[in-house]
Amino acid sequence: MNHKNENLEQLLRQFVNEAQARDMADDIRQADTLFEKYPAPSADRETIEAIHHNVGRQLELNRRLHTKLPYFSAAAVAVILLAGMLILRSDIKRMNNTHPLQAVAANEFWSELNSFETSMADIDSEISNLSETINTMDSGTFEPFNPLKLNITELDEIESITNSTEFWKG
Amino acid sequence: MTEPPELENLIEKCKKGDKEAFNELIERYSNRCYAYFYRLTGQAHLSDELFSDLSIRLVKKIHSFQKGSFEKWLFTVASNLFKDYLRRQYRQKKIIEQKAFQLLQSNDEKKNTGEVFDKLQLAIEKLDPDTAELVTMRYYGQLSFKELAEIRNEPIGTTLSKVHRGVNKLRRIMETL
Repeated sequence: MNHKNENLEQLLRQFVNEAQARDMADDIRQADTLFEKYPAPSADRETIEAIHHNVGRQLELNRRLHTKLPYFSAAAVAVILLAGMLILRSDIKRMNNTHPLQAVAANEFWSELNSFETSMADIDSEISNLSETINTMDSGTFEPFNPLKLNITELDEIESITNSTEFWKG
Repeated sequence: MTEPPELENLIEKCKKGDKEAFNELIERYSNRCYAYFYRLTGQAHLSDELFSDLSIRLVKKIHSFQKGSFEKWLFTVASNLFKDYLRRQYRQKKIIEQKAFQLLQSNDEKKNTGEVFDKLQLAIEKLDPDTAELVTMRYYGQLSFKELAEIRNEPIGTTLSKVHRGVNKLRRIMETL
């Protein structure tokens, strides 16, 4: 048997010296001769015929599979789409089922937010008033109400009347 | 390495699902593939089974053969099939090697099957499984050392050395038989 017309000695010379390469090549060729001298049995005709039959069956199977492949692919895509739709639908259903609770929660949230904002507005107004008062005090124009303090003109008048009347009394 | 145009045409026909082309391809390689399995197992019924499996795998995998040596591709598939067979039988690699050795060594079992063995078969059975596969694959696959080294994923020098040691051992064993 040929081994792709391989130059064995040349190949072996890459690894060993020329004499060794020649000996090794001879050893390998002698082994080939042994295989030629003792041929292995062949597959019997019955086996070959059975194999031909099996090959035909396998080819038919491949052909059927090949023709059905587009249908299988379409079916697979359909199943994936169907599964996607079912998942989406169940999600929507779940969202719809929880809507009343969500609405109550939202109303409560908004009313609480409104009352909070009102409180915050009141506090803000108070802070503004206080801030204004402080500013006024800082500017020195603030006059707090003092019921004991009388009008200056009135005091002057009273004092002058008292003086004029009591002067003569000595 | 490319195949002759005639073989290339045959393979192309096989790729198109031509039954006759497959039959021709199988006929063309039946002796060598069967002999490869027979020398490794030493049992005709196992060789029938493995050769039949190889043919079906050929039908299933022919599209994966693109270019290069068809024989290298075919015997790689055959080798993988034989290893799968051993793996199926014994699962673990260590056990595979032990059992493959036992398989090759178990003369008693084969005597019970009524097989008649030549000296070469008896000598191959005394080799370790790896060397036995290497030597039989080289001969029946008609593979170059470069191809063998590529299949075995080892440097070409290693393959050369293993084959040389293997065939020397084979010859020594045969002298004692």
